[in-house]
Amino acid sequence: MPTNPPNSFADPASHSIVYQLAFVKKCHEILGRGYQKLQATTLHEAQETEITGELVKSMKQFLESADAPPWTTHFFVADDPPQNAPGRLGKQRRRVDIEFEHAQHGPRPHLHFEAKRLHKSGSVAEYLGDDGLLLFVNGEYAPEQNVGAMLGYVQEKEPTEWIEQIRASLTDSPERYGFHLVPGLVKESLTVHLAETHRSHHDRVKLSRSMGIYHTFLQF
Amino acid sequence: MELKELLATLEYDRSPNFLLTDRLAADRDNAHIYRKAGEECGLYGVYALRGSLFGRAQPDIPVIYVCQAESEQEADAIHRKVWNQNTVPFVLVASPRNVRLYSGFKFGRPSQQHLAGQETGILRILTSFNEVASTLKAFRAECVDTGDLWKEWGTTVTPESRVDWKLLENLEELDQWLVGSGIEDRSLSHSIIGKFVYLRYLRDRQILSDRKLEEWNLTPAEVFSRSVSLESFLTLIDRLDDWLNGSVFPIADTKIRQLGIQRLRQVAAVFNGDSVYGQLHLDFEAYDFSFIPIETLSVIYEQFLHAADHESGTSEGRRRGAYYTPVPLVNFMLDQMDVRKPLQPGMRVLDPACGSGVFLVQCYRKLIEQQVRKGNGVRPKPVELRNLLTEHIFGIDRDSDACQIAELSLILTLLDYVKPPDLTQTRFKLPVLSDRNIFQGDAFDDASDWTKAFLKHPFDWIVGNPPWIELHSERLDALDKGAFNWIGRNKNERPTGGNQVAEAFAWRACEWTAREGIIGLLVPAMTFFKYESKSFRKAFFERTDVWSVANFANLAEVLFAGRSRVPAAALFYSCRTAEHERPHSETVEVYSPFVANQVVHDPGGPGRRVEIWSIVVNASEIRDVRYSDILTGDELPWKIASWGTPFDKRLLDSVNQRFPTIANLEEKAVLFLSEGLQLRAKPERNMGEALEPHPELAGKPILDVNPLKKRRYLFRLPQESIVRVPKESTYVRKGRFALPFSVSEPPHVLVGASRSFAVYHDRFLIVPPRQIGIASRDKNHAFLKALALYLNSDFAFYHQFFASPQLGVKRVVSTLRALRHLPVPFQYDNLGSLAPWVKLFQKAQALPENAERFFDNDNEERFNHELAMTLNELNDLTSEALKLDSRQRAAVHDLVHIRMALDDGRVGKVATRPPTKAELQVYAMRLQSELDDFLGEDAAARHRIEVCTDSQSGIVGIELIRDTRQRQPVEILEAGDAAARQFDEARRLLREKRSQWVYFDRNLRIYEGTTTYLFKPFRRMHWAESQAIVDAGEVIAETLQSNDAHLERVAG
Repeated sequence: MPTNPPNSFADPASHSIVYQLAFVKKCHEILGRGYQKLQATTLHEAQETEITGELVKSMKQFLESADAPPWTTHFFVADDPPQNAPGRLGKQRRRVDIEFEHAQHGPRPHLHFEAKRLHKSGSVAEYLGDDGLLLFVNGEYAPEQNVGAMLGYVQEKEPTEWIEQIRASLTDSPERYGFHLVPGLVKESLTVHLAETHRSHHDRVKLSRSMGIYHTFLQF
Repeated sequence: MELKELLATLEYDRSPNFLLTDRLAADRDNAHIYRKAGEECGLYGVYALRGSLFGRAQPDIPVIYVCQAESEQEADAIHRKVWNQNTVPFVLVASPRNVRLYSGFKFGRPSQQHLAGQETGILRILTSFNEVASTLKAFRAECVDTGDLWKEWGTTVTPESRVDWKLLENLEELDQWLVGSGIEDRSLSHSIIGKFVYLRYLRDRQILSDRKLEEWNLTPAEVFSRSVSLESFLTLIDRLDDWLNGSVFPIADTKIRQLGIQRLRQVAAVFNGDSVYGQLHLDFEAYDFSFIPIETLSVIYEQFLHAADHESGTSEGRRRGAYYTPVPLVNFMLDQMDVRKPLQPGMRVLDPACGSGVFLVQCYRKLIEQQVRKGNGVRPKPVELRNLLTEHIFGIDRDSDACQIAELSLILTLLDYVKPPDLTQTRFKLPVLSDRNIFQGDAFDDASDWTKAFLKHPFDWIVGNPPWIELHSERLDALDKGAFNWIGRNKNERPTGGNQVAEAFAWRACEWTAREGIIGLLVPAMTFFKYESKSFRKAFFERTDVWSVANFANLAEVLFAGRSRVPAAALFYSCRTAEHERPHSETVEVYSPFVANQVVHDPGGPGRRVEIWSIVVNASEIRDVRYSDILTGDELPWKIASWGTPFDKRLLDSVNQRFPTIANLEEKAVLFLSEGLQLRAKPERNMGEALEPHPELAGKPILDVNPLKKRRYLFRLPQESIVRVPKESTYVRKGRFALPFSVSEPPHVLVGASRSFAVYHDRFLIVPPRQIGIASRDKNHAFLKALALYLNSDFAFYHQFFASPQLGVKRVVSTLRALRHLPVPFQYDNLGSLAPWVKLFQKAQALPENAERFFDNDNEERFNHELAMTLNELNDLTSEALKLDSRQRAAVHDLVHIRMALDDGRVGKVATRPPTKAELQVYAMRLQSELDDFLGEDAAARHRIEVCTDSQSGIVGIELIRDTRQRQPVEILEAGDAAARQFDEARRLLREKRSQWVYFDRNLRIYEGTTTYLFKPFRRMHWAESQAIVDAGEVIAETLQSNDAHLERVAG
């Protein structure tokens, strides 16, 4: 049975640029609206999976509510879906924490979020490590995509303090993270519902390509 | 007339779709047929629909043979042969004096006096180029590519006069004649006819050559003509059985003697082509069995075996759930398999319910043709052919006749490639297939030797069409015991729905599949929809990897040439094992073809049905269904795949989340509902069913639904629909009286099984079977009035359509269960909430009695202005109560008022008429708002939309305009407009790259610089407002998927 590939006779990138930014913004808009509906302080000591579960539930409620904006009807959000990546089968597969999908017939673009708690001294290492940011950089997550996202669940201190620590770690070891020192970790304004979102850029050596990562910090 | 000039006139010489020898030899499905036509029909080239250019699994479909002949007589002979090939609808033959256009699907010998003109299949005879240019205008390359050919010539394509149906019809006539001549044993009639079919086949193929007969001391006349002798015939049968290892359809000597010499002579004469014999007008001279593909003959013969008994109307095949598989469907399934895991030497193939072996024959042929291609056209040696057969092809069937036909078909396929086919100059021995490759037995018999062997040597491909039958313990055929017991033993681990044998086969196939093996089975489409199969679906999808499903439900009326109307679906999967767990894929590909999108089979309007002779896969009908959705076992994902979009699912989920359902009210015991009373006649006429008498019902009013057919939007019952219960029908199934009777008490709502009516009624009225009655605990008139009205809304129909398994698949029946799931947007005991409904109810009651909507024969809706206004109010009220936005309203409206015209394989005008300019405007504006909304108000970019149309199709140009927040214009242009010139480039691209898009992708998108072009047929269904939402989503997704975007540029 034939697939339905785009019949592209010319570079559609000019559309892609605008559309991709819109997609990223929309995903963060849903995230922000879901976060707003949560009683965040009740999750101050919760585990990461519990927070993610509540956050996704809240986002789903927003998407199914009667007052959800029309554009939301194409968006689906799931927590913990397994990821297809070379060399890993079945239960060995990594499971991304949150997945956004633009769903219709045919291709279904995704944006993946990996979440980490920020609550203790080793949290930054976990946030950036093999089970954190490096999952994207090493191509375990989103190997086909150019954009990924990290979520920091701030349970101690202020988001800005964690952001500075993350910036410092990235700047200290740019090669480990494929981190582009220019422009560095840059603040973004994607939606009014999220106060702290930043963007970084990384080389993915194994895939011979690069990607952008959005970092959003939610206070609990 | 020179062939070269003919090709130039029709522009075939410049078309990539006109295929010459090398391309034809490489064709996956038809190379053997083209080769034969090249050798014996003067075939020069084939104009084809190039499916292979649109998708990997899509074959090229031959449309026009172009042949050369030395004379007109030779041209006619070519026509006969091509008709026997049963492959191509049109044949153009150039001879020195003229060009002849023939139908490839119709043939009658001109010498037959009762045939004339088109009855012979000669469509045109043209003697000059001017005539060719004008008369055959629709045969020009461009017209074939755009589908214009079918508009002008589609009615001449008559699959019912194809060789397979004609031959089957003739065989059935001969059978009737034999039965009428005094044969009491119908199996004898079948056997003798079957014998002669294959004798004639062997003779025409030169397998039973004169030389071979001479070797056996026989002459052709004494076995094949009216002067056949009994002894010679018996000798022939004995020798043949011996030579072909007993593979020829068997018939005992005593049976032949029982038939008698006179009848034997008559049958021989008919098969010999004697023109008219007594009352029989069977023109067997028309057949040339050397051209009828063996797979076609297998299918014909299987149907002949399973033909309905003339008296009872039932057939053995139908009783056993055996439905034949048309060859195009077989090829479609094998092509899907071949893409997933190409069939290669060394791979073993099993058909676990092989019937006459059509799947196996095609698999065997695939293997042989592969070798032919590898050998640059050189055929494999006989020994190689034998090894390809014996080492690769296996089948099981419990019907011994079927097994023998399968064996013979495979042997004959082998002989297709052997020269000389009579094997007179070789020591080569044909293989014995019985009990080595083809096994007669029950596929569920674990004790058989072959079952044990299968476990040791599993299969790489398992493919077939297993029986579709639900087993019931109280009327179980002895032959079904094995399957029934297997189902019982496995009911927890491998559940089936309603003891459906096809589902048991789906499980069973896993036991015999090799580690990386794949399976393709044709199953009843209801497997994916019916409630009873939910546990099957849940367990099956978890424990297998389904990669593709083709749901042919909409083609049910045209796929099997009227021989079956049961909706079919092809299921493709592989099996998972505990020790080798693999991830499920993210999505399953679901293909749901609609008759209305089959250009080649377009009936040209409502009311006419054209039987399918090829399966053209249209990319716009392929959906990706999320695997996680099907793991629930729910039927909704499958319904959405055929009829809806993820947008519909979101809509239904959202409404279901926000409102209580009828079931919730039932749980609170404020509402009760039930199907109607099942009244019966006196017990002695209903043996086996426990009944209880209720004489008090005699003379009570009961609803008669017959006067309500084809009517909708009834707000009160017409007088003629209320009748009285006859006193002889006052028995009710035991224990089924109280609740069905209670919903007959007023006030109540009577709901049609097809949801075509829902009427509030304030008098006692018995609800008949299958229809549903709803009553309330405290006689809440206001609520019931509101409910009756609401049930007439578009949304209620929309909801019930998706919630009812059978709607849109099999027949127009909705279930009580689906009704229970309906969300209710007003409160049971809140008069304020009910007030607007009651007010509108009263307005509807005041409508004139004949105001309800009805459907005419073309499925066109007709209703008067007052009713239309009331319905608009009702739909507005419903949408407001459910808080539906304009997009959701469009989705509801378009399903109910546009797509429903395609239900059950119809091609209703409301869906296929050209859209108006206003409708195009609505489409374009919705498309624009969807795309702009996606970018967001703060983005400095907007979309300009232009639609350019001609009488056939429309192009939508979507241009992204940067650095602006101003809404951009939407324009509707006609092809002649000066402003439409910018679309010339798009048309040129289309012609170059996707000239046949209308067949293979009816929603084609081309990305050209900053402009995206959508190409669509000029039919209302493609320009609906909800389609704009779908189109926008797809444009967004495809643009996002392109890997050229870079974050730096995004940020910049």
